[in-house]
Amino acid sequence: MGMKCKKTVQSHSVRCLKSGQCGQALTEFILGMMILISFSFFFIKMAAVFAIGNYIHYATFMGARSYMASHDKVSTQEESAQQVMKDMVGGRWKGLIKPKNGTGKVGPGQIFQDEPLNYWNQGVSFPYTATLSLYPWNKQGQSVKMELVSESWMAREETTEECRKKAVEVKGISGAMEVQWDEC
Amino acid sequence: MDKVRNRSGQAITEYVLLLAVLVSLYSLLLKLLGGSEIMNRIRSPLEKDYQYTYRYGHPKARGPDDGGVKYIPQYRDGKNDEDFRIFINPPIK
Repeated sequence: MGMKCKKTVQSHSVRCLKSGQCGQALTEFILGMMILISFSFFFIKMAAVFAIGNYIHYATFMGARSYMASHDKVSTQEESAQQVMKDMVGGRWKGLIKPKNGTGKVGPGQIFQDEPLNYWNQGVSFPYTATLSLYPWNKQGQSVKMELVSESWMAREETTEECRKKAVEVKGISGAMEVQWDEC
Repeated sequence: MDKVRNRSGQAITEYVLLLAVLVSLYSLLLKLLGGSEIMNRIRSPLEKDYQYTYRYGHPKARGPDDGGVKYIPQYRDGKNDEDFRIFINPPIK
């Protein structure tokens, strides 16, 4: 008769109760995960900021496009651009980006301000801040603060008001000579 | 389980104390890194290079608000010749 080998299998909970180390692995796992997850979320958040930045570029382009279209007055063109920005960006992704002045600035571009007639250097700019934290208990000064500005300078069509004003000016200069105009 | 009355809770106390030491060391390390050159090197690509690339299309490009216009092809003021730019020119150092 051969000997029977009797193997007793103790459950994990019994073993940990005997050794007095219950929950140690779990505690260490949680602590380790806190650091791992915070680093992972840094990159996830960064990717989200890049994606949102890309979208905001598109939004400013659409705003500038709307601003470019001719209207009766400049104020109507500005309102139109602001409305596009408000619809596309306003109030979104509050946890990731902070717009600096509402729905951005509509008007002449900063680069070509010296140009005398800069109808073509007009558009929309949208400044905002995105903050990335490297670890959960990050203090204000230790985080990565990205000050971003999305700009789109296209052009602006003359408004009906401006067109009529110019027609009067040219008529005054030309004197008796008749000037043919497209309809303003 | 430890049946000896005097030793109950010793392991957890030691664990908490050791953890406190480790957390303090980690916090100190982060505090030292906060003002160091290494941290600036981590931050710089995001806070500076990406900022200019996002705004002007190139990490070395600058606008009038950033100490004078540089590497913006549309800009013409006749004062400098650093406006010209192709995608790979100038190289990023």
